[in-house]
Amino acid sequence: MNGSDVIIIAPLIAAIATAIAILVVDIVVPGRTNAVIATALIGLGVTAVVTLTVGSMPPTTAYGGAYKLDALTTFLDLLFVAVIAMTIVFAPDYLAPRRLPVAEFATVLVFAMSGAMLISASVDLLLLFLGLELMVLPGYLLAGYHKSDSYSTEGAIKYFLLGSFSSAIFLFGLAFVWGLTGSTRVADVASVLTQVVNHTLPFSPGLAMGFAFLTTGVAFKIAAVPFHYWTPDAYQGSPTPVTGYLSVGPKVGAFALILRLFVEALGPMKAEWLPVVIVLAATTMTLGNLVALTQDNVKRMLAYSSIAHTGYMLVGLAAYAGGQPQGLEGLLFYGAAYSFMNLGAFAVIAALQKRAGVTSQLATFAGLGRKEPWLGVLMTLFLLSLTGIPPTAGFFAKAVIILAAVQAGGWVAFLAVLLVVNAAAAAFYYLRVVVYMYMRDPASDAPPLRHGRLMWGGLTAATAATILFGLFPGLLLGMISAAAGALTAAG
Amino acid sequence: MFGFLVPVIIGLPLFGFLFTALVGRRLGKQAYIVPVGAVGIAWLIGMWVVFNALTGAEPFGEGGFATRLYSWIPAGAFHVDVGFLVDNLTACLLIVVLTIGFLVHVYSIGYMDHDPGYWRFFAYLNLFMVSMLLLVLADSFLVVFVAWELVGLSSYLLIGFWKHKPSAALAAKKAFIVNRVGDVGFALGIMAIFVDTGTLNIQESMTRLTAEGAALPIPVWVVALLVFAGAMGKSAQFPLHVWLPDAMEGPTPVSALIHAATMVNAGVYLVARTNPIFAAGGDAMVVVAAIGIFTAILAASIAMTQTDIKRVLAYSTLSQLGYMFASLGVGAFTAAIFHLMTHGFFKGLLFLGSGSVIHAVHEEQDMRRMGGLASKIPHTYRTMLIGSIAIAGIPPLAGFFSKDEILGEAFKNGFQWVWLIGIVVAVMTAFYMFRLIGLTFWGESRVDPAVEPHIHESPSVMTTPLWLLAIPSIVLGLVLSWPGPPLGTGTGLLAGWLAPVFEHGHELLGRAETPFQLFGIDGGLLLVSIVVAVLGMVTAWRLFGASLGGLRWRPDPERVRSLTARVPFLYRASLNKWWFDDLNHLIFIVVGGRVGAFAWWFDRRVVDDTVNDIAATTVDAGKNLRRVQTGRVQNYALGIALGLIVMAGSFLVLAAR
Repeated sequence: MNGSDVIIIAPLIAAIATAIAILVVDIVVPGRTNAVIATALIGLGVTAVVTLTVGSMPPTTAYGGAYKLDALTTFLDLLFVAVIAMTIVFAPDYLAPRRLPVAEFATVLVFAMSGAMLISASVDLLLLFLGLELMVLPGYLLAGYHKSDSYSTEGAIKYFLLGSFSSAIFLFGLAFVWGLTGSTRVADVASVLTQVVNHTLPFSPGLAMGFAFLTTGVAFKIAAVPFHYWTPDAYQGSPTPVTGYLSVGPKVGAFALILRLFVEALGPMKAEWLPVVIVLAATTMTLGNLVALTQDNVKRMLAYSSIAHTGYMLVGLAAYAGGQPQGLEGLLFYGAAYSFMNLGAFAVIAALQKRAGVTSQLATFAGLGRKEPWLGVLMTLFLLSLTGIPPTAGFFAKAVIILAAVQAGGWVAFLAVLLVVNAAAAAFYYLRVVVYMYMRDPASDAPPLRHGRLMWGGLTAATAATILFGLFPGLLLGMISAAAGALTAAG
Repeated sequence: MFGFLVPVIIGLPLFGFLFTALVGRRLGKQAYIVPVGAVGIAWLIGMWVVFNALTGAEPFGEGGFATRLYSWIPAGAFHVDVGFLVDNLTACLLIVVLTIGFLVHVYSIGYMDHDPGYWRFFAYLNLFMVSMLLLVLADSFLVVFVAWELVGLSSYLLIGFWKHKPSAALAAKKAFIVNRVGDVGFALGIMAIFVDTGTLNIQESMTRLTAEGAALPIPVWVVALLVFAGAMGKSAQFPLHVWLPDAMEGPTPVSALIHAATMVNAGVYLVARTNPIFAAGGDAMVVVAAIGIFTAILAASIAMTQTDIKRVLAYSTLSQLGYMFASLGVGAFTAAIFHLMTHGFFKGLLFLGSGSVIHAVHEEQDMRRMGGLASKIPHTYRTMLIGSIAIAGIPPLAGFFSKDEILGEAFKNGFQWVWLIGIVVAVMTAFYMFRLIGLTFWGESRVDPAVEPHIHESPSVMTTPLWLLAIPSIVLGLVLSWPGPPLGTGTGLLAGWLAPVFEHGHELLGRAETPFQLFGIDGGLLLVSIVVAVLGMVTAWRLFGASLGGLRWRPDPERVRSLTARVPFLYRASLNKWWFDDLNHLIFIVVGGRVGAFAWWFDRRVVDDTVNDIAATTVDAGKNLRRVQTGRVQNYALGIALGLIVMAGSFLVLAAR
């Protein structure tokens, strides 16, 4: 370890320092929510600035090639910071009425973020696993955050048990790959696999088993069908801000893992894993949508639909494997757009649940457009974006993926068709909420709630991103094509 | 600097719209301040831009100034930039849109004073300004199309502004639907342009479409006719003209702004903007000329017998738009834009004046219940008289110059039949306008006695815009043709401005400039124009009376009756608007209803049942899948394990391949 290594991992250090600072502030001035949130936001702001500063350096590696700094690292780190910042901003309105402490929530979230940031920079299999665990362990904690709520506890335990199970599977897969390639370094693995592709080395059954275990482990983390069973329970049981985070943070983090692992390490053998991804993508988006169709609880509906969105992102991966590097751009754009619009939608639910006892049933949304016009308009915007209607970010994200998939041709083009059909089906359950908001009378005549300034600030940010990335996709595309370029150049 | 100023022209009314839509309701009677102010500032900036453009200052030069706002759709081959182009044609349109737009905004402060939807009206008006400005400034067909739909939307909202009135709601729907027909053509035209040229930028696609020996999958005349279909819808040309008279259900300032001076000109602008494809499209031009001049005479014949003051003006607008298309069709692009500008001002004036009349006699629109208003509402009377003289084509007012140029060009370009019909229309125009003045302002009062004592002139916030519009109605023709014919031998001001825009089109047409001959053919045509205008005017005086200075003629209803009795068919045809509404009723309500009923049956029995079955199956599938979610961790783990086995199996198969 030397000085330059420390500079390169500075974003990670800033993130961990932020988490510790929040804890310290909570110990020094206990129970001061505002101080905690201010600390968290300042810390995250510093982390973002550090990430940008470090990111402006030329691509480099640290720690003997295990840690890599490139455009992808910078882009993903910034996205994680944004996701965590918005989650923290949305949380107090939900947590405070339920007497749940904000400080621990924020600390745990920022620790999870440091895990995700470690994934985005890792080019070593072991380090990737370390980052993955560092990201998901806080997730288990958060799912069970509402200790006195039995659903929350139950969801958390299921999530933990199944998560550990899948982590073990993933680790097993790593062991196979390490054993048969002789290295844990992503670049070395890739060069050995290139020999396999060139038939100088055989595609041994052991390697195939390794691929299967790795794919299964990752599929669990991104909640791809049929490894998605944990999502509905964990999502519904968790406090709403946590659900919002779980549907976005770990998912984008796991996709970062996929980019580093499947694109960079296993990239040479993409023709071999492409069929599996095609089947996964097709089943994931179709089943996710089918089940979401029948839900009458908006939180659960969004949980299942997040499965469908995983499927759409997998189509981007399939397009890459089918020979279209733009597929990766689509995947990254989708990840960013999805983060903002989905967090926004969850924020509206959290805002409504500020009044204790309010459920996330569809009926809660009846007449919202008249009762709380602003929340109604914003929710409509997020839902339209999730459906993929122009000129929102969600539309453009889908458009990029579909375009890449069509150009890839073959079965991937079939995926594009399936995606369009699925998006049309999804319109049904997303727009049903809009119908409830504008065409049904309110269930209760309780006066509208007052929402905190933080909540409005966060909603403004999510709205701005949802509209701006739709109207000016160029803002994001430059960064994204640099990030995708960094990946494909290495692989 | 202009890269910033040009977007600001659109940005200001956009801000006004958003602001008023969000908080206007709370402002009550103060709601007009922001929207009117926004358009006022936009006017100032716009005129500065126009001045620089027309004087050819840097960075405008000859070809205009293009600024790219941003890249809207940067998706590979399908690339659309949002950008603006200000050349001299756009500048001319900006003068009309911004000036009349601003004056109508001011007028509405007074006109809509008692309306509960005050703020809503101004919000819509600003939305319209945004759309219309976007339409004339955009440099890409896709953006033009977006603006095209937006003006349609704001027009729909404003026609149906008094939404509790069923006739207004119906008229709004009619306008929207009829416009849709044209829009389909326009949309197809845009797609055809993209197929042919691979770009949607207007300038580039025009160059490529008319390039020498270009291989086009879709011939250029088809593209031209598709674009013209869009223009026909928006500018209400036969047979898509039926929506415009009904659109008069909207508040009068709306009729003046949208349905006389600006939006209905969008079609003329579009054809002028795409003039090279029409010039290269051969007989497409003849189609444009024929439809234009036919609309002109059809509408003029209807205007002669209508009794609703606004409907007379509406048919007159149709007829004048017909002139403009006829002018485009004979290759006289400059004359069309000339008439567009003068017509915008005097027709805007006439509509606002009619609004003032309607206001004075307590929402009465039937001219049979007016009369003798000249002395009671003097400002309205004088300004409307100016407008009427202008449109009738009496020199030296504005309409004379532009109309004479159209007719003269038609004759000299070999379209003598267009000229002949145009001359007949000119007689009719002078006739129906002075019939309107005679019935409304001269003669005995036929106003409801209960209303009679309350007749009052409109407030100055309404009469000032009238006078401000009267000035260009008098001098604009003179100014814009100075020092060209018929006053001198040079090139007219407007012709000089527009020469670069239409250069390519004129080249393709191969028209040579012939010198103006005051004592030859041009002078003869000029004389004919004046004679027919006076003829129409005097006929109207004889029949409907006149009291102009020392001239006092009594109306002669007996003569009117005996004259109409002599041509019963023509009279009834005109009165019933040539039965177009009945024809539409037959086609769309009776026949269409039958077809619709069958389609409904087919849809319910065949399509719906199929879809419902699919939906039911889907929902069932969803419910069954839900059962997988048992809630027991052991089952889940088993599921994952099974998934892992399948996964391992498939990878092993792939490895063994």
